[in-house]
Amino acid sequence: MAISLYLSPRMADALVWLGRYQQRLETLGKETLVQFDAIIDRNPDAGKVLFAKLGSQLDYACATQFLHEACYGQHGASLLMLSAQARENAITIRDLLSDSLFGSVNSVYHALKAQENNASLDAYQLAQLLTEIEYFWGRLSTRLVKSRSAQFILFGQSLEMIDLKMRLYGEVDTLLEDAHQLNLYGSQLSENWQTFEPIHHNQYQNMNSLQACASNIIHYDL
Amino acid sequence: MLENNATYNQFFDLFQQQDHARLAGFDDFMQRQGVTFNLYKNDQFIEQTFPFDAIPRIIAADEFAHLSRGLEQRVGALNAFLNDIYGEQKIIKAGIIPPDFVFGSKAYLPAFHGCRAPQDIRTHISGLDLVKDSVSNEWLILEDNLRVPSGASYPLSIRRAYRQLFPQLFEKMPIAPSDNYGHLLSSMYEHVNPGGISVVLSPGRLNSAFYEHGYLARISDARLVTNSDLFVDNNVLYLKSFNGKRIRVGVVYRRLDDDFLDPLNFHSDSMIGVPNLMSVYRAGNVALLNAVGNGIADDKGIYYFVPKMIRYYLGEEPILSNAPTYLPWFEDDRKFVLENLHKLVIKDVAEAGGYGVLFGSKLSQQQLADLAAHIQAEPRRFIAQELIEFYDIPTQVDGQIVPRKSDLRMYIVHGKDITVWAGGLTRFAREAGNYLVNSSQGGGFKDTWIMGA
Repeated sequence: MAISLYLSPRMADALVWLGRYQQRLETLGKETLVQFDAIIDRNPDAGKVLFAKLGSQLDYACATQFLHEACYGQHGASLLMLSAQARENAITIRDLLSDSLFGSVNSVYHALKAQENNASLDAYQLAQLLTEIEYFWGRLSTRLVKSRSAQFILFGQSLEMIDLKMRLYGEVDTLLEDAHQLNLYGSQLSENWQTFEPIHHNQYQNMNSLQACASNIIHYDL
Repeated sequence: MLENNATYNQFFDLFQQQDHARLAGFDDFMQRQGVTFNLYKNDQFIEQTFPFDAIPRIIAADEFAHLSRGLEQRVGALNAFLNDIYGEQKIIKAGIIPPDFVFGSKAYLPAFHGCRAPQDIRTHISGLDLVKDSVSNEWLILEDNLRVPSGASYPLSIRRAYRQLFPQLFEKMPIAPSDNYGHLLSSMYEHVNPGGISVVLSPGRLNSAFYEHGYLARISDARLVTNSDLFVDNNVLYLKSFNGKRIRVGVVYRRLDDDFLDPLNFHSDSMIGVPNLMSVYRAGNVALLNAVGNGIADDKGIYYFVPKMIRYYLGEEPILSNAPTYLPWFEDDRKFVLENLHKLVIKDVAEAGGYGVLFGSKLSQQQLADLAAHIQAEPRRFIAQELIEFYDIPTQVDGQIVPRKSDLRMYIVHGKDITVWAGGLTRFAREAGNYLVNSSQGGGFKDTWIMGA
């Protein structure tokens, strides 16, 4: 039996959260670029609307300020904070990640951190940084044999994808494919997986069911 | 004095032909891969990359063969000493080592007397520190590290980058591969394993060598764990599995000191240990790497007796010598030390990592007098060594090649056989004239290239 099958709840949890934070960083990064463009000359409040959906209030006077606030602001959805969280999870399970996967997570954090104080990060650079995350997913999906650790990361990615779609767009129809993917990973990781089925017009219940998914596959107590 | 040999000349000839702009690739590599050596300074956690110099230490094949024989011999004797001290204690009964040096040491753990290690191996991974004396041109042993020697991951990591950035050097020079270290570890795990999987037990993310813990786990097919991942039931150690099951653990490559291993046996306030781990160890159900109580063998006072151990246990003359050392505990030595304090190096046996090292030549008259009083009051606490004028090796600082003091930590893995790894951690002082090369003292590191082994 391969050693990679031996994962403690702490390790499994860190893998899931690595997938979640990477997905959150990628989605919010891309949304930040879309709203940045809108703020320039179409909708000055576009950035405020986006971050309000995540419980963060942003204050800015122009697109450049918005970009800085999105990346470095003192709020729970700043891109630097999300990147730092992804990195912390990656560090604690460093032995489960290849050099290329870890290097990808780590380099995004360092690139963001390096420009924290000089306000010089521009939208073009952010777009380039986000390609590192695409590279991360690419590396995970192109391996011929997926390790158990990769399945946990991809499970976390699916979980976060559904979470974000519900928070940002509130649409159930667009969730069906992601839910299928989540159920696929969930059933591979647990014999007792309970299928996640999103319900129309009941976001509250959908969120509750979603948050219970991780505990279906990770048993914290023996 | 600068160490030089024909192989360095070959290296520099080739190195000059390389595109030096590529040297920046080393920093990129270390930052991207998080090759860090963390420090606590002023109560702050500082995550920093380990300063690296691209000019390697180069060791000729015949020199490595000599070092290997000497290190294998030394580790064999140290292992025999540990088995003896926690067993019959014949070396004390024979009068080779005064009982005070063993029983008076905090590192001796009488509670483990009679407790056998799996396969009678206690020195699974040793890190022996050496310097090359520029007067005799001989390698001298400075320290035996038999508890939790760290550092192997740094030259291993950088070797990969080196081969990617400067492949011509490896094509044209007969540099021995060093990437078998993970295999050496996993083979050793297998040899001592009483049953179960292998884990590397780390104190956690904030430990200075956390990068290394993950790296070594990965290359040796072990799982990186912290104490919360493990539990003991009925004298067996288990890993908690995410699916609610338990998986037996047979090997623990622990990266924490004895004092913190098990709060029920050592420091009761340890937050990083595994309760009842010692019961598992005593029952012979787990191999702890390195064994509990090894500190007695790398105590700086015991170091003095290692050549005697080699003669006693192996019936051989030591191949590698100690640095000339005096024990103030002996009256004659104490007299000599007190008369020559101004030119000796004094070490506090309880300290490590370059701490507690005093150079007599740098002390004022008052400081010398204070030190003399301390030595007279607690002679067992100190050793004195002659100042070794060890070689500088070429080091690149601000684009210039300059001499810097450096030592060498060689790693010896003791499984079915005792094997000296054909690599090593070369540490160098970053300031001219500084003799302290320890990473905790701000030193940097180099790769160590063994030629044609």
